[in-house]
Amino acid sequence: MSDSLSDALAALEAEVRAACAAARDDNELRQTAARYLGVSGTLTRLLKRIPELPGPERKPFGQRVNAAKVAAEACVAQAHARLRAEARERELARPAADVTLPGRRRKVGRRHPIQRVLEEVVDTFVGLGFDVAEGPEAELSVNNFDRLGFPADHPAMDMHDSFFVADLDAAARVLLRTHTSTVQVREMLSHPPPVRVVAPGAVYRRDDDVTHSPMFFQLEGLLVDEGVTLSQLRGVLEAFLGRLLGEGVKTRFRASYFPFVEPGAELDVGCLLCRGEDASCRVCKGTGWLEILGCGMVDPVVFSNVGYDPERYTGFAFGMGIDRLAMLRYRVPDIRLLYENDPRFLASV
Amino acid sequence: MRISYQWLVELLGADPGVEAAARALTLGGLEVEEAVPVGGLLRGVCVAVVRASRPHPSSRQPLTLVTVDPGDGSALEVVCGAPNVPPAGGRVALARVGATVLGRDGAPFTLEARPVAGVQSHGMLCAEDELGLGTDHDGILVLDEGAPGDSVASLPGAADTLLEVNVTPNRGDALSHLGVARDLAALLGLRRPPEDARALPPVGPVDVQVLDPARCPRYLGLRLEGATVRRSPRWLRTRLHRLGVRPLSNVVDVTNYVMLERGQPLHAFDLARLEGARLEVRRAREGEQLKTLEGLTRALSTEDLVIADGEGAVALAGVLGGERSGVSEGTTALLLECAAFDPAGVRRTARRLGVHTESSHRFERGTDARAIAANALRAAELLGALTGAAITGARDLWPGEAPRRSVPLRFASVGALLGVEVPPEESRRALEALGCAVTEVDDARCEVQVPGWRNDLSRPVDLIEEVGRVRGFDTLPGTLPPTRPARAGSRGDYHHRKRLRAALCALGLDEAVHYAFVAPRELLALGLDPGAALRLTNPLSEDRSVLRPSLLPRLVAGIGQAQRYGEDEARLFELGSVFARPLGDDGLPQERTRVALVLGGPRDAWLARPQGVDLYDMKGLVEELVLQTAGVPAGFDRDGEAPPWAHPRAFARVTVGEREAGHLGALHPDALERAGLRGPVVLAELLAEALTERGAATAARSPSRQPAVRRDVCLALAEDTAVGAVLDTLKSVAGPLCERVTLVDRFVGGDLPEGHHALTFGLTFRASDRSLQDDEVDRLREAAVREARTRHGAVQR
Ligand SMILES: [Zn+2]
Repeated sequence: MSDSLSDALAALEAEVRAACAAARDDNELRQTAARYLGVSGTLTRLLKRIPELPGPERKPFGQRVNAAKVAAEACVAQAHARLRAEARERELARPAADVTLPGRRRKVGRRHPIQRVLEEVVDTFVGLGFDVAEGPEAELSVNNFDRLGFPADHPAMDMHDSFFVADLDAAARVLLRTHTSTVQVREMLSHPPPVRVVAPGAVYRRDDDVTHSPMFFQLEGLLVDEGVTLSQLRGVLEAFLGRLLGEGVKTRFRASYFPFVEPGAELDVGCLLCRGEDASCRVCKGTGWLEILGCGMVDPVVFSNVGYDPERYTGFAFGMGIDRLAMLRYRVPDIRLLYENDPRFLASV
Repeated sequence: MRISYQWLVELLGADPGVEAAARALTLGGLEVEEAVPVGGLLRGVCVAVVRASRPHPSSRQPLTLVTVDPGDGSALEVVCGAPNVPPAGGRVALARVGATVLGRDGAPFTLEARPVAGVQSHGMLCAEDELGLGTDHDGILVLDEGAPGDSVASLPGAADTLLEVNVTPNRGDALSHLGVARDLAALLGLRRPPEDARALPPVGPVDVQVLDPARCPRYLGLRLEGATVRRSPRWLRTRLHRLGVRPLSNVVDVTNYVMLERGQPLHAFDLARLEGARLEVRRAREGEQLKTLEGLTRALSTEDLVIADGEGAVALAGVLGGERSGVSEGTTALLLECAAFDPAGVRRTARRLGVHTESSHRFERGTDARAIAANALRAAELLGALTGAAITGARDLWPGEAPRRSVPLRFASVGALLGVEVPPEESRRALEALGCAVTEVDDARCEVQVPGWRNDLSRPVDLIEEVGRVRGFDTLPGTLPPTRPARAGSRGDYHHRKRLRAALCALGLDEAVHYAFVAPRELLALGLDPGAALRLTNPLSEDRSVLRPSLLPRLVAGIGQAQRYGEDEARLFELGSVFARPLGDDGLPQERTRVALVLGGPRDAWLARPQGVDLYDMKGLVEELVLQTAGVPAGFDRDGEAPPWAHPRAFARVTVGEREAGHLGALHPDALERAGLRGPVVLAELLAEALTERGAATAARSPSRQPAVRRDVCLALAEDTAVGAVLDTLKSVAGPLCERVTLVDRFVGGDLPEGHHALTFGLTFRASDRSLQDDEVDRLREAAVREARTRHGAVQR
């Protein structure tokens, strides 16, 4: 192999090195590579000349050109890596993304605030071993009043101003239930004791103002067994409140009246907002207490009406207004907002 | 019931303190909702003596310059505009400069020294209303009590605390100061106010008869003569005013006072105006009328009990007095009625006539028939003192006079129900404190005689509650009942709906909760017939008069409301009951739980051209919802009729398994227009129970680890060819190696024939055990395309 060829190849190698180093982008580098290594590139053409050479020259020539080719390929690869690194540098150095542009949101829907509270309350009682029972909203008057021991023509009815369903075929009077206590009756008529159920649902009364809605939600609870006591009523409700509102919630147990329980009571909760320390508190009206639970021992009359033996069984019942709990939790100023379903309201809670 | 704390103190002869009393009452079942001190403003106002008075020298108004001595011998001159300035020596209420009094609007203001018509006034002589002691503003308050210099606040009844007590309907006995005082005594361990055991004096008879003793168990008529009707003294007016009763005349005020004190409603007739000077208690006659004290003529029913004289009804028993026989200024002889009426009868009459009076309120809740004589005599005593009248006749009709009610009680049952140990002695003491007489039968049992004022105590359990009240419910410890396992399957429906809610929320819908009653016009807007729906007999308004047969009308109306506020985007669901005829065997309407979905406005997009939602947005939601909740794919077809609200071209029947679950569709353009909505709106309404889980538990599948091969096919199809069928064809012909076929693109126009579109389907092939060869996949693809041409006329492009 002549020195001149060797020199020429060395020069070519240097030329490739310089061209690769000079390439400013992928395109230039591609052209450079094609110029030397492409189908008709300089090095490719040299390799193609090998068969034309005399036998003894072929091997050293081939070796030398191949070495030049490998060196050239390495140069291109190196340049390619350099360009990539430079491009990455440039990319990383670009102005930051505008994170104030809105994200493309996949909205998850929200349960109605009443349902959120209702589910939480029900699930808490389920955790305390209660079944869930339900009944119709359009109900027979006898289940809503008579079987629960409501005295006819008694002022206790004033709290239950009912909507009646008009229908000439109706043999019995049908109304929209005024409380979920109807489910108590249905549950006891259809199951022998012991019973341990909560009954959530919509109820209806002819009221309409800032704190009364003609439809609202209640949860009724009933536990009947042998030896059930008023003390246990308090214990179960305190366990419930502890789970719902956190341990250490203060309670006050006081006498009250509901037609289907005797003794009747209410369990008040220490004000969640002012903790009884603000005489001008709007939530508790300065009393320090929130009245959220009506309850009592099932009146023996109710047991007789559903065929339970009042001598053998005792039980307790309790009820709470879910709307009131929702209003407390979400600070809703007017109960009617809950049923208007204004999207702006729903989005705020 | 508003209660004067000072009055309680008088009755108890002890002052436990407002806070302790309010707390005890509240815990004991007579909840004190509010305790409001009154008369605090009066501290700067004192009793003064008039020394002299002279007319204002220059004012054209009838002003008087009055010189008063505020008790320290000084002489202050004040300007007074009232016509009733007493002569020298008279006592008046003087507010000095700096004192606060109430203005005409009821708002307090502070007096300043200022000239009135040119004369400096050093204070003001006050009228009752300016001191909050009454309503009178005809003249200044002329006092017959208090020494000069005394603060007016120290006059009887001037400073007080008013308790607003929430009396539950079972506690008629607590609708009086005596009743509240009795309960308070038992709850705080104070001495109970003594019982009034006065008996009628021996006087001549009064002509009264009871013709319906069932409705009027006791009627006592007292004749009083020699009355002078005039204004009541200041203390009585103040007390009534504070308790919300308007002072009228001494006679009427006394009847109201005794009612507030003892809970016994009384009525005073002007004896001279009673025809025949006699009364009978009977049912109203057919067509009988009564002009009541409020001046209204009421038509009576034969169900109503009336008090009548020789001419006709003069009062609605226990409810309202009549105008004709009422006491007026010239009345001198009275017939005072003190009676017991059947609570249910009073309630029926009051409700039928739509009246609610202090009297009917108490009779409905039960009064103490045993105390009637003593209560009548208490009124007579006050009438004697205030009007000069004396009893000249009496008639007490009480045919059914019965011994006190007796209730047996087992001592052990008290603790057994309350859940704590209660010694017999504690039960006995508690019941006695409440006025019961307890007789022990043996160690284990007693007989309890209930006082006449506690009509609500008739069973052992009632007595147990009383013992509990006196002990204090709040002292009971909370204990837990033994646990029991829940009944199998008992939470099904509730938990199903909870899952539905969760799935709907995950799909991006917000939950709405609407009233179950809707407006007939909202049904009409959706093409539903309000006549077919169930109506309420007594709706609050026409707009809430029909029980919803569907959840959609209200949801659609809600979209309209939101649009008026500029909220076009609606993504809502509701889960609730709907009602329909016919009534079932149980007499109740068909009541089903449905789930409704609505979409309205533009589809979610960012920096892209907004596009309205359409049928396929809803179909996608329903497909996913059904799969999530029922566990099987939903079916969609156009079998049967379109629901009235649906666009006839854009609706589908939804099936789950073999069962029809409901419909989805775009809102009919007519409905859109009737509801005044900007479109588009798409809806779905499904039966909740159709979405209960029905698919057999699916086995987990191990995914193939082989590479997928994708082939796209572009087919030109007539637009009325069901794409679902084409998808099915491609899938079935491509065979088991074809994992899925999806619709990738749709193109209309270009060189396509009229009524055609070009659809690009993506076919994904994969074997579970090997890499697929290109030619193998191409053969399957070609077979599928051929079959699509044969079956659907599809032309490959
Ligand atoms: Zn508070």
